[in-house]
Amino acid sequence: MTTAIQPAGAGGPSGGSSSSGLADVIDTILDKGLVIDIYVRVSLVGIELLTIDARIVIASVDTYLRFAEAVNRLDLTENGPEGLPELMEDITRNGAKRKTEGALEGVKEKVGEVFSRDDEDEDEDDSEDEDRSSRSRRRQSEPARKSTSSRRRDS
Amino acid sequence: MGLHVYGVVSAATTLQRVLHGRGEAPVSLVVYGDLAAVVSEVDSAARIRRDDLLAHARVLEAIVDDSTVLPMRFGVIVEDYDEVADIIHSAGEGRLTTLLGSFDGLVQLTVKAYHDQDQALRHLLRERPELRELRDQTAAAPSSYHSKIKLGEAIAANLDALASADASLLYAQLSGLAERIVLDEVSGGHKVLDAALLVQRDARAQTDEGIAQIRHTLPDRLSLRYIGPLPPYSFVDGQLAGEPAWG
Repeated sequence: MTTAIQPAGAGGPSGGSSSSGLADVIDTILDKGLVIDIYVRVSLVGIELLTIDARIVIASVDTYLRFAEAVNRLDLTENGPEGLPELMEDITRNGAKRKTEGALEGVKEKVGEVFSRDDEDEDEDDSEDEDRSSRSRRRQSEPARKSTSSRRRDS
Repeated sequence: MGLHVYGVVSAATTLQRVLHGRGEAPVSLVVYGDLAAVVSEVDSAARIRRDDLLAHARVLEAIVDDSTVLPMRFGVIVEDYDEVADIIHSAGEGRLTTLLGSFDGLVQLTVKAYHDQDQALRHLLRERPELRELRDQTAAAPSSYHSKIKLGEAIAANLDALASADASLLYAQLSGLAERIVLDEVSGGHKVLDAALLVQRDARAQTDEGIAQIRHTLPDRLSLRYIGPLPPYSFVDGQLAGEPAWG
């Protein structure tokens, strides 16, 4: 492990602030800091990959169903309906999909959000030595990853 | 060949040790009058990888440990050393010097707050009998698509309201810890608050303690990330375009 560019403060009397992770970095350095427009020369190819339309928000109906499922799931032991859920879920999901198909909305969002989601999900798995080609493949598939689970599998 | 520009420091700044930037290239300071640009050589046609982004951030974080630096947004790349002077010239040497001076001795600390969805939902169900009732109705008649929508809608609205309330509360607590504070937009998801605090480098210990106290009293549904010290990214944002820092 290299310590060449480790911030020197790391060993200090820290009450807890941590060094920025990849998600924080993307959140910050692509979005904030001094800009002198005429000199921004990063090849568009690179940046485009980083500012893809990262999130597909399925308009409210799907979100509502998700929340409804989430609260019902919370205390299933108390009064969960027996047997039914699996079947019902399928039906409502399909129904919802039809209804919201026209409402698919691509929201321009920083890829930072995507990565932070990834970090939450995969945590330690997101290691530095991860193979680069798989990484770029993952990036390209992000829009689908943010969608529903069934769509996720499609990509 | 090209030069990646990380930021601008005072000409009096010296690097405390050898720093490596993008592609592990050594970082150097190009002096222009009272100012110096922090640069390293890069292949200007190279594709940007995550290591490049991290390198940009790490170089600036290393410098901000003991010096003041105006961070460039990632992507400022010039052809050669002569053009570094053009950058400083076009931004205005006087303006940059003033701006740099305004951050003397200050660092940015970023605080992000997140909701744990299940905990937040539990809180809502506990606090709001009408939501409990709605949920019970839905559970009793699981086939009703509309009752699910209605429930979900109510939950979504209440979650939003809870996030706003939690954000306001945190903001009030954090304000006391910083010289200045700016909030970033939070775009849905679990993130409740994204705040940049400008604090005295020498007062870090107090800030740490303040954050620790906030953490201590934090409800279960909230978690904090506390990041830094960073260069004042959020406070120079848009400065040269004449926009207010409160985006």
